[in-house]
Amino acid sequence: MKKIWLLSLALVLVLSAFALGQEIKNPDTIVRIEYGTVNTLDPAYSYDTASGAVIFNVYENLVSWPYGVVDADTTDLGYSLATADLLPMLSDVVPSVDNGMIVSYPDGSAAYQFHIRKGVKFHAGGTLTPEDVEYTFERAILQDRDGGPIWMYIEPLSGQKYWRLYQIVENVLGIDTEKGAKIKDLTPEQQVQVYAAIDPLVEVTATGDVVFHLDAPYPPFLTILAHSGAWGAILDKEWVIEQGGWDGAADTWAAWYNPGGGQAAEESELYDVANGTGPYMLSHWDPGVEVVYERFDGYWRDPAAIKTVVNKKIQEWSDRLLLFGRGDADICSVDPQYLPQVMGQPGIVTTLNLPTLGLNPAGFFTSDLVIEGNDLVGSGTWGEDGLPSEFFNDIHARKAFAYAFEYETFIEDVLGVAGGYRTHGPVPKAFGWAYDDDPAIYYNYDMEKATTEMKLAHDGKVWETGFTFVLLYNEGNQTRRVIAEILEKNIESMNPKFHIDVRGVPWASYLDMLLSTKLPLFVIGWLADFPDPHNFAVPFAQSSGTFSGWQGDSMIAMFAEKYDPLITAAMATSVQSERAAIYKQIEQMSYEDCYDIWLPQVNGFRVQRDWIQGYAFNPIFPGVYYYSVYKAYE
Amino acid sequence: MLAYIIRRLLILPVVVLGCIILVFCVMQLLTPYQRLSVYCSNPAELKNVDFEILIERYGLNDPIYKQFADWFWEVIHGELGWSESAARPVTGAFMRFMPVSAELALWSALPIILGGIWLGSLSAVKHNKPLDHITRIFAITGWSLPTFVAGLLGLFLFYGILGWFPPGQLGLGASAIVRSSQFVNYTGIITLDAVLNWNWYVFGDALRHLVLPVFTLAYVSWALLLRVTRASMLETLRQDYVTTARAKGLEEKVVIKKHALRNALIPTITIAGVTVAFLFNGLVITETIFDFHGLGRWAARAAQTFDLPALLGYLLFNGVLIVLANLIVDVMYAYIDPRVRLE
Repeated sequence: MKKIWLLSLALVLVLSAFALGQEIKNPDTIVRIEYGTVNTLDPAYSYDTASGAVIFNVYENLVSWPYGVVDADTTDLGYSLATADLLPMLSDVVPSVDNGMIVSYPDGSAAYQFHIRKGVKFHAGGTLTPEDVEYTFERAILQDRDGGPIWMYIEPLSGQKYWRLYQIVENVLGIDTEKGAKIKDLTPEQQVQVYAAIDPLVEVTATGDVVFHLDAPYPPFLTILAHSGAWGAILDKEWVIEQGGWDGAADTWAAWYNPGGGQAAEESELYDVANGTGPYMLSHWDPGVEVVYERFDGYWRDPAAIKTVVNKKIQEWSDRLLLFGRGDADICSVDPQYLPQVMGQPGIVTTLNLPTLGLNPAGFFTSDLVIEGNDLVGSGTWGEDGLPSEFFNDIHARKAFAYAFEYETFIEDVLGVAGGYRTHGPVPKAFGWAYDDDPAIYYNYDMEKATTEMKLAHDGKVWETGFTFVLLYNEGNQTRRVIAEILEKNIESMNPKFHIDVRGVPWASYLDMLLSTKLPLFVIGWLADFPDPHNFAVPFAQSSGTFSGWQGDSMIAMFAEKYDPLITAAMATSVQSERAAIYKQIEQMSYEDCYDIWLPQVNGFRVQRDWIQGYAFNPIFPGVYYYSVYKAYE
Repeated sequence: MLAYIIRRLLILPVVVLGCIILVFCVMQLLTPYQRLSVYCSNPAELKNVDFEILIERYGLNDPIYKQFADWFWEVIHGELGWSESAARPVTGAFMRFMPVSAELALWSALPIILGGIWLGSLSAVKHNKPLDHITRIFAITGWSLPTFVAGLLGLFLFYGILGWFPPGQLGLGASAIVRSSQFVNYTGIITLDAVLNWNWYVFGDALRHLVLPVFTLAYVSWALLLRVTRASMLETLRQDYVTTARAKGLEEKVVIKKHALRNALIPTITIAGVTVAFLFNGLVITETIFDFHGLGRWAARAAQTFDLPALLGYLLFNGVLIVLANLIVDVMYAYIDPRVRLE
């Protein structure tokens, strides 16, 4: 009896293994399993990669990026991030100075003209018109939700004078909107006045082209419009109005301003519906569960090869591993630490050492620290039991920390099989034209130099009195924990009076301390919105930057005095060599000022079934571009 | 009986209010920035979120009684707010996730309760005999095994190797049918909807996906019911009236089923009622391991991210559920034991 059971079990095992064989599972469907949550389908609201990845396949932009292919047999990195290499998409010509579609005027303003492709259909049946393009951008600007991406239009179109709609409103009407809180109360007459200022920014010409008017040069403007940013996705005006969206009238727009206060995505009429011109139509979206696309057979190019695409959110790694291992999923999101579990498995292809486009993580010094109610800095004064507010105001103290990090060990031991690379900031290595290769502007692990610097810090006071502070990381982020522990070990080894306590806290507490300027040293990261050094120089080195703006008054004063003029200057010219020279100067200064620790970056990688072919690659893409993907053995 | 039920139902709002006030008090221990963190999980959003404005907009610096009054006002107007952790409104999240947990609960409740009672009475009847020991060892191993270990082992064996029972609620084919316009989603409970749509393919596929989570849940839950039923049954079997029944010459089967078991079930019912109530309010670990998007997973995520509207909505539901479950247990007492009168 026992033998029969054992035999049956063995038979079943053999059959199951055989069944996997060379057969391609679900040949007409791509299943991708991942762990990101899609928040909204409204292109003007979306500002996260998971939502952007859906919009990326359903909608299209005026221009697109060239991409390479990474699949089982090919690793072709033939992508580009250069404006000059952009390709036509819904605009059938990419504007350039040479073709006369970009015009600069003596007063510094510029016009970008797009010739809109004819005969392009939206999924719901509408036909693309220049008015759709104009409406798309006007709607986005007038909607400008809190925390959203529309600063990327307002900043260039206003000549970098403003980055929020409420600032334009305040300027036009001369009123205080309380940072936009009162915009919904504007009278129809006031709305007309504001619209009169917005309307000329994007116009349809008599010849049927669409023109953007920029008040000052903004070299990366085309890259913001390109197909990778959801905010540049073109909508069907009539369809949006049918969904309850802005009716296009000059005196009504305020009702659609900042839907849900920027914190309730469903308040936007396009929250859960989509109608683009892309190769895939949205078939079904179940927030936090799955997104299903169906091929759009009326697509203006050849229809996609695969009929159905299913994106499933599966949080649990063991489930993802099992589904992927059995071929029930074709593409799988894998955290770097789990790579060894999939590498070399039959039927699974892993491609390593792919370029990335971000500075994540980076370490930031804060000065002056808020001491009141800050339990991370002990007494908050000079002494072995605390850290004074101005501790990191001294460049030697900052340099000591930069020298005390084991960069190479971190790459080898922590980043694991994915591997990593050294970089400095604030310009990421991916922007070769603006990245300074000078080996002298990297801090390398050197405890002797670290000790020398620490002895110089605050004229020897640090070495004499010592210090204590808590180095926080947000729980669940193991890389940040290790970064903190490396610093703790090496700094403490210098002098018995130096004490660092590494502590993990929930993201909420971490954010709380960051916003209160209470973190002496914080580690956080930035991924590109658009591929230009400006998108990194601002958050890292501008006085009002996303991260630099939280580094305390002394650091902010330094950014304002030394970096703001350079960041502005780099945007005042469209000549790439001139811009490159300025960014390289910023990088040299960043080394000398050592306001951040530029940590090693993890390499990009891909994990897919071996039957997945034509998998597009460009590091600026927010997710998989399914149009080029098909399933076959080659 | 009716008066009793009404009285118990009147307690319901008090219980729910108690839970909500407790959460409100605990949330006051967090700073306004911490409470806003749910709206800023992406560092890029730091660029143009003005936290001071948000604090004012959501009244996070208002006195606790005002925050509570504002929330209550919204609730009585049917507005439970937006759940950032579910990327949908609280009511929408609830309507989406509740049927998933309910399906798991409905399918698990039967094997857990009947299996537990059967194993318990079997154990008691075969007291100190090999069958008693085997049953108890079986149940105790299930109890000692953490759910995630039992679940993962089951998945590795029955899906990873054998490919029989995949994670998730449905396979690709059945999912496509459920999404199609031909399939009407009456309740969101897939097996029930499949029957109502007379679609046996979907029913079979959903059942196939339920086997492992249901068995895992049953396996880890049997021990408690088994022990309670066994102890109670052993005590009942020693009662005089059981001896009398046997002395009358009644068949052993009749003695056990009609005379002993019915009385022995009274403590079991309390445990069973609470077990089922817990099944309904979501099972974080089972739902996570088997990729069921149910209430438990949502509530856990909401708690981790301080998603207050979601937590409060969940508590409202939970309070109602627990009160109702207890009420049903009380009514069952009266039904099973004629000596119990609900007044």
